Amino acid sequence: MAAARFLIRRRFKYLLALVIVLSVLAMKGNAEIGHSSVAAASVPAAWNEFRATMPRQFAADTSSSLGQLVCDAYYSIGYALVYPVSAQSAQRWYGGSAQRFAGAVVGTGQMIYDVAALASYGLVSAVAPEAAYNAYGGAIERLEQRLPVFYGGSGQSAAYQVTYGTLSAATVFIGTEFGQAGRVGRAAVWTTESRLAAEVAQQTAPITNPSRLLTAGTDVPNAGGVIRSFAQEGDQIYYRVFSESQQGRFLTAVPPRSSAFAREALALPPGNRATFIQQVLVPHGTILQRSRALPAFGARGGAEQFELLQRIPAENFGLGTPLL
Amino acid sequence: MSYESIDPAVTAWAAKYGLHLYTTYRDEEVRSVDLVGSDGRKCQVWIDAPDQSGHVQVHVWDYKKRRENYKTTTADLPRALEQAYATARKWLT
Repeated sequence: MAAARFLIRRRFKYLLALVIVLSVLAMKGNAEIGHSSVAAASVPAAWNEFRATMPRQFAADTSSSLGQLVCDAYYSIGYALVYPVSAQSAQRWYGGSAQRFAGAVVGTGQMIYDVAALASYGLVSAVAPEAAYNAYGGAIERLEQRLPVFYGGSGQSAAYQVTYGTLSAATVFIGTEFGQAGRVGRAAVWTTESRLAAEVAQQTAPITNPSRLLTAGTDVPNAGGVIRSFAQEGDQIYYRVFSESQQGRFLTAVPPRSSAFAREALALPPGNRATFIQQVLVPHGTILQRSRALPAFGARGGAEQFELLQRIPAENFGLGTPLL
Repeated sequence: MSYESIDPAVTAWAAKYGLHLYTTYRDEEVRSVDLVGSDGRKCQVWIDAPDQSGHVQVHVWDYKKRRENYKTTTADLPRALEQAYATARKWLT
């Protein structure tokens, strides 16, 4: 017992030392970040700034997350001790910390499950893509939401993503991404996300159209999963299935392999039998909304869909070819 | 395809039970309502547009496996809607 206590005390000491070192680095980093310009207009400028500030920012995030975790673990013990005597006091004094710590444990477990599910998805989807999506779709959606924070976001250069991802992976359990996985140190995560969002915002026009996130009162809801609005970069070919109308707002990035699959995975309305498929040329700058089709009209949905939030010329809708 | 001939019956039925009637979906005209149980489970009831001979289909499903279809005529639609409503209620309780 005494030995265990000694070990815990020793480890705690090392942990504390690590937090202090990282905090000093962070303070130094923040002081310098405060003087740096955030107007990263070009990719090289953004990269140079990233290279200069990233390690310190990362240390700041790591120390903040770790410090928060240690505090939460410590106060959770207090919560457990006080709760049998006075649940109200335990909640008032330690409730927040205990909740965060429980969130960290559960969230980390969920993250591990999701990553394992991703591997299973990869194996199963080769032979049964629909079954794979049904079984592991939820995990994929969650990862889809979290991964951009892990690797820096798809809007960044490849070098940025690789470096950011490597640093994230190196400290997955003690740094920012622990916060992301376990919802610990949310402030640190928000700092990172805000910084990335600010950088991305400078390179793209305001693109979200909240009126389309919720359908109008007469529209059957169709958008689920990660709903994201974006401006198309460069001209791009999308695909559209139909049986009557040659034009419409709902597209897919890949051609559905059959009419039946399109009806089921896109949860098409009864009037659309997906008997034809056409190519749609979406011009550079067009605003689209990405989501996954919700189940409706007896079909399970789940496929990725893109909704045109702006009109495009009628001639951009190609001729329909039969879809079997 | 037009819902004009069945709209009076459908809107009256929806109003009777306080159901919100959706009329569009993915660029197409539809007639659909959602019933929500006290535990959050949902059922969808939708009505196909009548065909040329005046036949109409009413569908109900629980967003999972259970599904029933009622084939009827324009004149007999109110009864099919009541049946669909009763089925949905049964599944939600």
